[in-house]
Amino acid sequence: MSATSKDPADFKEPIRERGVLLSVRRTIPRGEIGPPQKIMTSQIEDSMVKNNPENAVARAQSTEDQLRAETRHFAGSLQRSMGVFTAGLPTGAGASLHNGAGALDTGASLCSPRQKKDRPREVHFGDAIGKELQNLYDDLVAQPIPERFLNLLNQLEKNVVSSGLSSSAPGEKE
Amino acid sequence: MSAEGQESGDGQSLKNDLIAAIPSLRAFAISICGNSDRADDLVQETLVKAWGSLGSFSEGTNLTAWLFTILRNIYYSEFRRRRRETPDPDGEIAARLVAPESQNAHMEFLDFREALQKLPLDQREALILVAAQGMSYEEAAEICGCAPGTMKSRVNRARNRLAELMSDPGTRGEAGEARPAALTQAGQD
Repeated sequence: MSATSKDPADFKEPIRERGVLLSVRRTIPRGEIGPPQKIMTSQIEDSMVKNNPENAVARAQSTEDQLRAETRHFAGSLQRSMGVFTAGLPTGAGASLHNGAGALDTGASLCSPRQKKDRPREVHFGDAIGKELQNLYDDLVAQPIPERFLNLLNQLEKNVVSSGLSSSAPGEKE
Repeated sequence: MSAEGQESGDGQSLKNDLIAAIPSLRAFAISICGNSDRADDLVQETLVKAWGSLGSFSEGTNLTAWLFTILRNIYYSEFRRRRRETPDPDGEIAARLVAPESQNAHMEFLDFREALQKLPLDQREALILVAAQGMSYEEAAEICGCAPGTMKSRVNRARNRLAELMSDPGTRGEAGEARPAALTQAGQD
């Protein structure tokens, strides 16, 4: 019982201290807010920001920053989408803008300087992948045929191979 | 057996056709299974089965595509059989056979062969058939038993995934649909 009676007393103390700040906001009507009040409001806002970063003012400021960031991001993505749009144009439509010599095969190369800056790897790696894959595969195809296959086909041709071989497991060697 | 009836000139011609197809068949086998010894076993089994099933082969059709279909069926049968027979409660073996997505987050730069083996099997074979072997989407789709549109989608995803695997961390976010969270931050730097 004594413990419960202490709790409200401890709780009242900070409220009384905070009441100084809270009473300012409560007692001044909004209609009377003038230039002096603005100073007071800004002081209160500053103190609120410092004391409690999660209050409404802090949220408003962070939202404002976020909006600015989103605006910047949007501007960037707009430029990028414009680049993509330009890339999708027919060859004649944008070739003269970036390369007077023309002779561009794909739309992607139309806006090469700007496009490379924005999304350089997609086109680049697409080409590299094709070449790498072709080189890798050509190397494999160019390998000599193992003797075992020629022997196997000779055996099959001569009907020497029994029917049991065809049912052998793929992992088995001759 | 139809091979018995073709021991003369036809048999010799067919044998030559099979020999001519072996390099591509072997390259395809190595590409999908990633192991040359195992690939040679696959090719051997394919040749034996093809020789025994020549009756089902229509003259004038693409022999290479037919052989690829047989090899692929053997590989998938073996894959399913091993998965059934091998206790793999944690999926470790399956993860080795079908590229694990989770490992990709730790890779920054890969050798092309290694990156190719990291692709899911369906995407890898699609890329090999179309981009390396030079088959049409329709031919590749027939071999893999799917629609041409599915084949196009697999090839595109494979290319994007390879680009992602081969790129530095800064380009990962743009290259593919899977965007590891650990690398997103690095990509913005």
